[in-house]
Amino acid sequence: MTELPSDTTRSKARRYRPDAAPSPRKLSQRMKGILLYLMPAPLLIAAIATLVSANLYEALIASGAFAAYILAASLARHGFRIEQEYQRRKIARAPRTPFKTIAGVLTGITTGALAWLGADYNIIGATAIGGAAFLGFAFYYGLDPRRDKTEGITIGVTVEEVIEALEEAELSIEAIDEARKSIGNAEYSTRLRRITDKARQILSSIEADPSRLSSARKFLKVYLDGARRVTEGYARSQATEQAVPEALETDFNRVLDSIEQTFNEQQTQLLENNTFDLDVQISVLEQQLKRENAF
Amino acid sequence: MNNALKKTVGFLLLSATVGLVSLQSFFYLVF
Repeated sequence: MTELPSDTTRSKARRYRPDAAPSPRKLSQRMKGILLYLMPAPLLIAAIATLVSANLYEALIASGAFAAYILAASLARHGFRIEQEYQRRKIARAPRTPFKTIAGVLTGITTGALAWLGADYNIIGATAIGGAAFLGFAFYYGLDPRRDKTEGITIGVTVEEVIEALEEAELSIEAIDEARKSIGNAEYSTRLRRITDKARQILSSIEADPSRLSSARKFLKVYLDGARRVTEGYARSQATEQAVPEALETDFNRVLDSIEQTFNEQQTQLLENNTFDLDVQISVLEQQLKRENAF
Repeated sequence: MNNALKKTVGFLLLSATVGLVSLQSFFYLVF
């Protein structure tokens, strides 16, 4: 009888641990642009050394160039984040401010100016090296996307409407997230996180089929906005008052309950394209939000 | 141009130009 090699008995499956380590893609996304911070490092040393030896003109060149490179790197990183968001979405507006392009141009100009003033190149050589730096940036990192992504838009809603509604909803979700961070209650925090997760899922399902927007519009306007008002109100009263009154706690709890319930129903009904029942639900919640105006 | 080639060329161009100029400036400005 032959013996099995020992490693065949061991499973290669790994336990799923979502929080254990970031996925490689995420890590590479986070590291993107680090090179732009590292390359100008000699300039920082030069700035300090020239400052110490009181060579003001040289110190000015070194520190100015270093600052410009770091500014370009930060702009580029901001551009990468916006682009990543754009790639993730099915429907998205092209970035309004071309951060990556601005960063590329700034890197090119800084390199050219530094070559001319700091490394004694003649003006033609300096321009060429600045242009090459910009070209390298554009090839390696790419420039900003310029076209709006509009795939899957059907008759009934315009691209503008969809994008605007989604952007507004995203702002509300971000505001809820912000307010959540200032609420120091673990239970509320978990529930609010569940609510924002659900809301994001609803937004994705609208992105996947924009014709759903017409049935979800009221939800986005009334519900998400209501959830935001209530959460922000609670966070505010928690920040200003030392102890939140019990009545307010109960109200907040109740409102969170209805919000969670309606968010769940919204998602199910969006998928089933059944809007009548939800309209009734939403008017009930509208009433409730009015009643709980104490926030 | 193929995307991988473009990225490689871009990386080389960017790191060579910015890296070279900041190193050269370091020596020119400090010494």
